[in-house]
Amino acid sequence: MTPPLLYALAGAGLFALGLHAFLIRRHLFWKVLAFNVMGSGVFLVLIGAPASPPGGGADPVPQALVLTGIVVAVSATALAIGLALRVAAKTGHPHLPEDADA
Amino acid sequence: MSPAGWTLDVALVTLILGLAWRLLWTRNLFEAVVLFVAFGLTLSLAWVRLGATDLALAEAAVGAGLTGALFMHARQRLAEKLAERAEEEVDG
Amino acid sequence: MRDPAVHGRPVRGVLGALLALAAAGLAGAIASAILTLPERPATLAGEVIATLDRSGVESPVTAVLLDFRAYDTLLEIAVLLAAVVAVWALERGAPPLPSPSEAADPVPGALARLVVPLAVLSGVYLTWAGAYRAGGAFQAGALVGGALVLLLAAGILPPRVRAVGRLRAAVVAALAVFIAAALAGLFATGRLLDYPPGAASRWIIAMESALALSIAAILADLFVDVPALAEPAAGPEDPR
Repeated sequence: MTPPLLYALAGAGLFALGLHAFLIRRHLFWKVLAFNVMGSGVFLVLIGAPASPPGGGADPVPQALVLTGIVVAVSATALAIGLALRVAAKTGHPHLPEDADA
Repeated sequence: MSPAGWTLDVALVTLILGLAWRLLWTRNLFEAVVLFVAFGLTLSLAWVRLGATDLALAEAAVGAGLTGALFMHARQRLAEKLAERAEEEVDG
Repeated sequence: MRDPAVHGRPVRGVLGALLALAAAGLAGAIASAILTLPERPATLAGEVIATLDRSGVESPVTAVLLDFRAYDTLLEIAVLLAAVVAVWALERGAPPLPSPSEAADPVPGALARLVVPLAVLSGVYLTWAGAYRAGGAFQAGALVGGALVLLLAAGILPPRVRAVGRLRAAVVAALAVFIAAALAGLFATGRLLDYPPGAASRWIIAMESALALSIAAILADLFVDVPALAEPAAGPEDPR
């Protein structure tokens, strides 16, 4: 196992952790956090997997992809937080109406 | 693949997974945001280990710094707004 | 009373356990895909290195971002602009801005005097350095965006990016420059977004500077405007 492979596998784990939390947690802020964790997992896989065979080096194309991805993820996160704040301002609860406590 | 390098990589991966687990499952939003910033900075170190220095810079500045600060500020406004609403409901 | 902003309660029970199992299965599937990659996975790195001298920059990542895949960067800046427009749209009916004297706070002002000149200098350096080593427009934009946030918070600038005409212009600057470069490339070489031979490094520096400026304005705007969305709309409520 090479170090990049370790990171790539960690990325797979992060993706699953994030997905599970995204589905389970009701609080909209936590959904956004979970989505960010999923995104970071994907980025780790994108960078780690090509470098994982022995002798693989830093590949510029996935790096450019992930750099774009990080910046887009930030703006999408900002918009998502804005929407969550709007929902909370209108309904008084930080979660969607269908997720309200029974 | 030196032993020191390996130790560092294993430590970073453990930190990354541990921070993610903890931040996703805590009940305290403040703690989650703080852990998220730590998560982003640890991820930045991981990018350095993977040879992606551009990503390390961007992750530290934008992923951890900007997103973390934004979350912190938004959490504060959310807590204030919800506390106001609760007071209104009690006062009628 | 428990503060609902602080405590979030997850879904419990059988459904939670089933989802956990499904997520674990997904992780396993991704892991097995990673582990069964061929010995020499398909990569474009060789071609990037081979054509690097024609791209006008020395850093392979910058070459990919600003030359070989400049189209993706154009779309990316358009996405950032869309996010900002969406946030501005959410603010319709928001309460009026606080006047500068209300918002004045001495700490950001003092920090701004120290930090902003350094940040701008470092931002210019980072943008230029991206052509040769790690750096580039995104990182520089984030740095200068932070400086902009200080200026907005200190009351030195009006507290909304929208209110400052030059910052509004900065938000769209990169998209405008990229589209202009694409069209100019079309007239110069017959292909959209193709740089004239020999002029690539000048074009790239110009485009990267515009990109850094826009990213700074956009990130600063998002940082300042999004928390303000917690205010309920002051205008008439939508009928429900």
